[in-house]
Amino acid sequence: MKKFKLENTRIEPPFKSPENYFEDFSTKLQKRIEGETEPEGVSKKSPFGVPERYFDILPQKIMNRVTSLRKKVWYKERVTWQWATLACSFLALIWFGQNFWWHTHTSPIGEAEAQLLDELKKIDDEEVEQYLVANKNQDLLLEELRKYNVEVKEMPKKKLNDTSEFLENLPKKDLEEFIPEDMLQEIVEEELGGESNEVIFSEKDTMSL
Amino acid sequence: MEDQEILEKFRQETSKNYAFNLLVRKYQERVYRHIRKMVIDHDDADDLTQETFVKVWQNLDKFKEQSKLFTWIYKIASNECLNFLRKKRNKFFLPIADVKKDLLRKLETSDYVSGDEIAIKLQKVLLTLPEKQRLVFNMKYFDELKYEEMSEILNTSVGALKASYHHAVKKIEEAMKSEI
Repeated sequence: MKKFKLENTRIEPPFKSPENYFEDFSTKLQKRIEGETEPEGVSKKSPFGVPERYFDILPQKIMNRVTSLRKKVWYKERVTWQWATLACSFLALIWFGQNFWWHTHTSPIGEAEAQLLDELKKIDDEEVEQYLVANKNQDLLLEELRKYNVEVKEMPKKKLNDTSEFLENLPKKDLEEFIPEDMLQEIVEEELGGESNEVIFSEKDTMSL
Repeated sequence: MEDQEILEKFRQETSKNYAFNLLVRKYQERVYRHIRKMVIDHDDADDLTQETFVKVWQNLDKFKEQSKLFTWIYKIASNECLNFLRKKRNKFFLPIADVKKDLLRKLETSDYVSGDEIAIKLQKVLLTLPEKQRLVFNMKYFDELKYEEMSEILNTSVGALKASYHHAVKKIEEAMKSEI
């Protein structure tokens, strides 16, 4: 068998290229780089047709859609405004209603009473007690002082109306705390100067204190 | 009328409708044909063309003129097409292949399709491509848009678009040979 020696033989590759391949290569390459290659064996003719006078009618169809869209937007805006107005009216109604209720249910008398109670709370309990004691012994004190020739201006005596008003306005609870029930009755009678047998606090009242 | 003039008229309330009517008449055919190539059926294309222009109406006030008016409209139309095909898949739980079969059936049976064999063959081959590649091919081959314009419309780099188009051409040539 004859020995094959590659170095002694020149073998050409079996590949062939299309005719004028290298002449057209640079043009093809340029087209590819630019992305302008077009497929061979096809045409740009479109197979798609449209109904007769289609492009005459289409603008009107589009305008109709746009018009209905505008109406919808207008209606939406209108409805939104209506809701907003309704909500505002409702809130205003609530506000007026609340104000009206407040004015009718909170009378000036009620307010004055509340103010008076506040003022009474500020009066010290001790002061009340001292006042009552001082008034009870006022006459005895004057007598004693006169014995020693001490000139004393007559101490202003509480008028009946003032005292009874004061007692009336004094919180009953406070009185009960410092003065026993029997003493209270006595004090009241004294204050009235024995002119009247009328008792300011009935038994029922004192019981309920 | 120039786009700039249309836009100026659109901004005035008194000439808004007039300007929009001019705009529709100027671009309706290009928009329709672009959409039709993607959805095949005339009724679908009609509906999507109207929808595209309704969106143009709604958003034209916001158009900042950073691109050409037509590029902007084309972008809306392309999105409408892709959304339509996506919804079609989701609505019927159809895989991509079934949507393509549906489009192929429409191509064969729909009214308003001419009898040009080569043209129909090319459309059939195009239906085998991925949707976005089909869109790229249509824009470049049929609508003869520049890559820069396509890049704006599809938010894709020029290089990627060129590569996509080149692959589409190769696939089409191969498929056309076997079809023939």
